Amino acid sequence: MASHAESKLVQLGRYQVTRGQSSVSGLSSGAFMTVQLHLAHSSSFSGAGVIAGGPFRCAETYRGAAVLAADAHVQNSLYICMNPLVPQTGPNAERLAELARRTAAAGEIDAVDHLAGQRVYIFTGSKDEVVYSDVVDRTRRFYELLGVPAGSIAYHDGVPAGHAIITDNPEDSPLSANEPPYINHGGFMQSHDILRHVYADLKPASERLDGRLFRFDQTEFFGGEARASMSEYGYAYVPRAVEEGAPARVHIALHGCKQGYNYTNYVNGRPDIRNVPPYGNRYVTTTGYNQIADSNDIIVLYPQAQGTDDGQTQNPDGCWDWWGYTSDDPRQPDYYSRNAIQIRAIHGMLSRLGG
Amino acid sequence: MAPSKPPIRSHGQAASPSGPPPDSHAESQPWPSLLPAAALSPAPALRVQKLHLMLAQFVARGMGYGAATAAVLPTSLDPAVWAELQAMQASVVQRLQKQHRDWVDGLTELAEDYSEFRQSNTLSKYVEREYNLVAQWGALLSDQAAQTAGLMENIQVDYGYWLAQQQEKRGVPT
Repeated sequence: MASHAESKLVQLGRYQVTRGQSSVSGLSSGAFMTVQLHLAHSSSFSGAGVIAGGPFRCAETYRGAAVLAADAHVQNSLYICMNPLVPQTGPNAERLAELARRTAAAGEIDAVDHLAGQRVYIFTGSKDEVVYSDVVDRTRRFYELLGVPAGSIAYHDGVPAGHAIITDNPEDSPLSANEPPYINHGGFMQSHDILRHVYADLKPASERLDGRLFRFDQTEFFGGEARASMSEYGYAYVPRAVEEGAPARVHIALHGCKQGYNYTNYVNGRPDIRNVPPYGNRYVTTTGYNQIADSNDIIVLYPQAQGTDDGQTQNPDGCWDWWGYTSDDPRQPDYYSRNAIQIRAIHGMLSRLGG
Repeated sequence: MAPSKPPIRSHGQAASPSGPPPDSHAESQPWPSLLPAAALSPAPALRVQKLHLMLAQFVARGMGYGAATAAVLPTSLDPAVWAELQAMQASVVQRLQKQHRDWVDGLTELAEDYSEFRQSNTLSKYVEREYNLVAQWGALLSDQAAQTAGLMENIQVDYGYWLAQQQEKRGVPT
């Protein structure tokens, strides 16, 4: 059976998923969210892939940045967690690791001990002008400090890539580009490298998909709340063998900003709905996750964030929340915890699948 | 941010492929203690209030950092401290150079568009073509202004954070 997107909407179902063997990866804001989700539910995962992402709760590094907490978090995100002037003004891995331990001790995330046996892939392009390599290097240190052995971390910083997930598709952007859709051609499938590192024993990727790609209603997982800034639909790829009852693992693939299926550019403060970018769900269909998943009985889950830019939620680019825009109280943000609306929603999807 | 073009990842204007909009300054809740009248004020008044707050913050930060600098730097004999300061200055220069390149590139493109006469078969098309040049000029100015503001903020936040770390190392209360 050829793979095809079902025209109808289906409800996310349950499969024979092995608990504790799931994994998560993401680019950019999806990478920051990957780290958050990974820590919040480390008992559910066996590894993670971080492409151009910073460490946990980085946005809370320097409260003195602004009078208002929400302003300080945004300014921290931009100027410390993405574009620090020098390495010394980047995130402090030691402090953030300590903060993660305290967060775990407070019961807001899983115990960090679960990380010790896990495998983590971390990548930063040497031409990345969006999230600087200095920041991503701190993510590596952060994981080491939380007990992930150096040998279990695959750290790549030598590829002259811009800010993007790398593919071998000829039509994708040049490797060094720092532009939407942030999918660059580099002669290899980064998604395959991530999954091969996390699950060491994988078969080669399928050349022809045999499973089913479908869309599901995401709203049931976040109660349809606008502050979640999540789209109406998510996507999942389920290999045929898994549909037929084979044991499976789940990989959660998180897109970056401006990469959700319904991303709409804001021009002069207004959504440019007449010129929606043409890449739609390219992150779901062309980044290679489905091919490697197909031959290895891995379900790929693609939750989707969407842009919101109103008086309440400041997220025009449809980024995952890593600076607190979904929090009820900016002075006490919870975007990183198991209770965060996006984390709750994504983990709810994982639980539904059986992971 | 990120209007028609990708957010120029000019180093100063950090933006959003990965993160928050640089022009985002609103709390996701009203600020009862700071802006009690927020819910009752019309949007223009809220804008003025917010601008006032941001500017006041900018000035206060600058003054505060001046005092902190006076407390930290003159007594520092650590060459690493001075090396870090120099590196920060170099980084700022690098970002200004990048911004300048963006400016020159933008002007060059605009000049090329202006010098090239493109055929218009209708009055509406002619008006649209002429207006495009005005809009491009506006976008270039807006981008430069946003980059400059972003760089200033970047410098302030990073310098403040760096100073706070220096003060902590020296046991100076922050």
